[in-house]
Amino acid sequence: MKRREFIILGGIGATSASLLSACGHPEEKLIPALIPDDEFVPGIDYWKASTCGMCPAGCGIIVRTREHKANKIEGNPLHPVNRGALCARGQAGLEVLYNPDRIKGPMKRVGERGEGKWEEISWEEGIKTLADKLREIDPHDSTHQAQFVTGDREGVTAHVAGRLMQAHRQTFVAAPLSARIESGSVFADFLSEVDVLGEPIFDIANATYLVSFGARFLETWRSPVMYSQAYGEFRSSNRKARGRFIHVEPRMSLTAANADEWVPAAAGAEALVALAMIQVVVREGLNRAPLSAETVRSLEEFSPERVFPTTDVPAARIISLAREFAKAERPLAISDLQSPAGAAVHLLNAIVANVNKPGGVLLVDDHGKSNGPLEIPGNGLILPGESNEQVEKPNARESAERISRFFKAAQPSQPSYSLVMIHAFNPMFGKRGRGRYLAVPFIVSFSSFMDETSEWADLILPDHTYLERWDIHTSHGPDGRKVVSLTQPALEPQLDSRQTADVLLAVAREMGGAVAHALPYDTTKDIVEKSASDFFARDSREAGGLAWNELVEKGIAPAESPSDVKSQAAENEPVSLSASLMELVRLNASEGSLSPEYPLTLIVYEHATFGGGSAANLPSLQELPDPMTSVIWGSWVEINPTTAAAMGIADGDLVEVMTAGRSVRAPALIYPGIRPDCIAMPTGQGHSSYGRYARARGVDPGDLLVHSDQDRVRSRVIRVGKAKVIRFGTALMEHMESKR
Amino acid sequence: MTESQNKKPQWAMVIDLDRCTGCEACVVACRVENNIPTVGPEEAAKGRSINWIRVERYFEGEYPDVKVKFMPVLCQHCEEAPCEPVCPVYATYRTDEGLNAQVYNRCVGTRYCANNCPYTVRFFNFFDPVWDAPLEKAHNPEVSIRTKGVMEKCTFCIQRIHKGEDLAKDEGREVRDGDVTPACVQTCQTKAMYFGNIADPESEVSRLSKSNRATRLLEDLGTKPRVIYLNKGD
Repeated sequence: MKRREFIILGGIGATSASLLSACGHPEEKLIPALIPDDEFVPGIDYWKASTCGMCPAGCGIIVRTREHKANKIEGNPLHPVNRGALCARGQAGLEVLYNPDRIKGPMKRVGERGEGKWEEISWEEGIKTLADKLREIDPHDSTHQAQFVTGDREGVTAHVAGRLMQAHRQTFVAAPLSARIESGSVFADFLSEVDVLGEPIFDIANATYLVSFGARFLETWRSPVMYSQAYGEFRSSNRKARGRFIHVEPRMSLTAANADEWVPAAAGAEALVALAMIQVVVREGLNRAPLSAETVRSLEEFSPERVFPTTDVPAARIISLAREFAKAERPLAISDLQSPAGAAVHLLNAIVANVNKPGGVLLVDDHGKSNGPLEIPGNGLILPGESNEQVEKPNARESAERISRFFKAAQPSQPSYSLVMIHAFNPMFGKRGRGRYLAVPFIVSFSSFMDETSEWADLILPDHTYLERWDIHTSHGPDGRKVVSLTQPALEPQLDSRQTADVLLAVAREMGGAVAHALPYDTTKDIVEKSASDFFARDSREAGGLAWNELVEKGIAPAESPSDVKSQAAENEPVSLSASLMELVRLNASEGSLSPEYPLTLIVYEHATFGGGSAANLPSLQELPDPMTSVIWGSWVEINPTTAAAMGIADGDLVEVMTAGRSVRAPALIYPGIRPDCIAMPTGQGHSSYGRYARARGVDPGDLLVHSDQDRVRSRVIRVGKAKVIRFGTALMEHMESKR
Repeated sequence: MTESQNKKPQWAMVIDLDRCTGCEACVVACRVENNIPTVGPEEAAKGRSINWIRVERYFEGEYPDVKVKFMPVLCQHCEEAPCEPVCPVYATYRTDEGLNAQVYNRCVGTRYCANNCPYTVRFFNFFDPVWDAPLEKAHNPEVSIRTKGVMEKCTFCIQRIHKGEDLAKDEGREVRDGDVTPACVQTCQTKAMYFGNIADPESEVSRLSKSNRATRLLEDLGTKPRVIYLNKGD
């Protein structure tokens, strides 16, 4: 039913306020999704609980709808991850749903690849085409294989696709988080040699002294809303004194800007700073946990005095930081554990014995008895008769290796793919990814948008947006408790899109045989409901059906009681300095020298709202001034004032940034918060496609990073390369605000 | 203060700058709640982009001793608002709940108010707002669309105030803390923003406004802002 659009001024909302209200406690009045049409009352707000899909953090949301239209997204106050708050990206979610550049229905390519000529097809034809293509694949022919790639590791699509591909003996790859964030563009070998420790929760709220080694937890990182809330409590809480916060990073990010002290260590030297702090703590006998004599001996190499030439942080400063840290009531060091700094940071936390303590590192055991609802036996995603066997889902490291291999030059052992299906991932955004994927004869894109991957695809089967589909998400609250939250449609599908998992179920039915047998469900909703009900029933909390109803109403159900967390908490094992870490740190340190030809270090960092580019198509975020630079609708190159003056570059001048054989042009931004030997560029812009708001806007610095084995990757969200800058003109100011 | 004002809640906001990280979630929340259009790069470059709330960022010092301060700035709902007396048509006036209100129907677009506002929080519609279809489906039906030639600015989310007041009335009680949360306060990630009735001595904003960290923006001007900032520190 089409309704006349009309606007009501506030003040006559008395009837609506009595039923449902934005103020007060909306969670008490949440109404499950899919209300029958005859129960809709015009002029009344209906709030529906779901899960945000704008980043992998999985915040709970409530969506305000009226007359079959969604008009606001707010945080779900019941969800422990975000407790009612939401970030800028989450607030802009309706622009995904109502984006004018969404793909309206399934399409097949009729012109040349990338030419943009498409023919609308029916879903039946699309499903049959994909099923036929899959049938053509001979499971035993290693030279013609199919691959399914998704950027959504945890969701129901990954499980259904994994099951489908496994039944057909083909490759399934769930891209790791970092790959999704970086959309393939900045995606070189981000593999770290450090073992993945599982992602712990850092109890920032209860810490009294916080040192962050490049962890931009207030902007991006793992769960910006959760950690921002913790930061608020860290700063002022009735329970404790104001916490002190130190941030180590070569460029002043928004997180660094909020620190009491910013330590601009040399790019990539975070691990060395952490190790030097450990060395000071140990040599002054301030450590609370014992270290082996061998570790103490090997640490000598990393004394603040000896690492100074590499870190560029005066020894006296590291010594004072280390003393403050070790003497603080509840010290905490944070970093991405999948980076070299992460391993050093883990050791730093271990020597002050803050693991699994309030204000410390809460280790989350992801390999414990119960994973998320989608990963338990008996949910139909596990092969019959193999009740305890999981769907083969490669771990993060394995997936990373597979994708990394794909991006590298062809290797003899690599199977040749004749069909690639790409979901929730845009690997063709970057030139390198595009080059690799274009060699595949048939590409299927499940994107809701005409992004670069869809543009070069052969068949597009558009997915629902996160506000129209079913899914289930498992995350951890600030206390380490596991939380199950539901994604459910806030309103009916707006276009002729279909949830990818539903499409795959239909493809399986079309293919028949073992594949159909492996996926005996009609709809994704059935899978989600059965998985969740079984999960809660198995945990014997209450009857599964009741838990499901609660989940639908509130969008969230705690999957663990606090006692569970305690019981699985690991013992505080002494952590020693591993040989591989030391090797890695040495390797990084030895690359610190810059050549005369390329005298600058280029820092490519994740844009706070665009991420790797997946949110660049939202006008509200394009027009949102970057918090640190206030630039809108464009890209920029941050240059230290001293460096710029030496090169004769003024604010707003157009400059060319060059790395070996590659270059991009963007306006210079004179930025006081960056080391003189570094320049920095944000990711996210530079799309050649992806709709009117993103296309031909700014540049993608990912193209600058030279892909070679020498490119050491320092952390998940910062990529470092060597570069030089030349000025070649005065900028037109139209893409930058005149006054900053 | 008249008797009627005594009974009416007096709305005020407190922003804790020690908690504010400058993330700008409030800016987007405000845009979505209040149907604020985006204007595109060309018009934005002419200074025509509209943000009822913005986050000011100040750099202090030189590398490596750089300090940054963030400050969300919105209409301060001044008790002695400089914008009000200069309006020739009484389009902007003070409500009995302490809001600085803007009557769009009455506004003739002289822009005197914007000229006289020391906080630069008033925005003029140089053209009719445009949303590329179907983005207009996300409009909040409780907030009117402003047309060409009209000034607009923060309303403290008056539609949400009304809802909160109506809820209290339906339950037969006075408005209390938590009944009303403007969109910016609702979404604030660090809980740096508070909103409430400053006439109620028990309210959170009353309590915080007496903090020794409390300050008001450009208070020397005598505008008596209803937005109170808490400085950094303990």
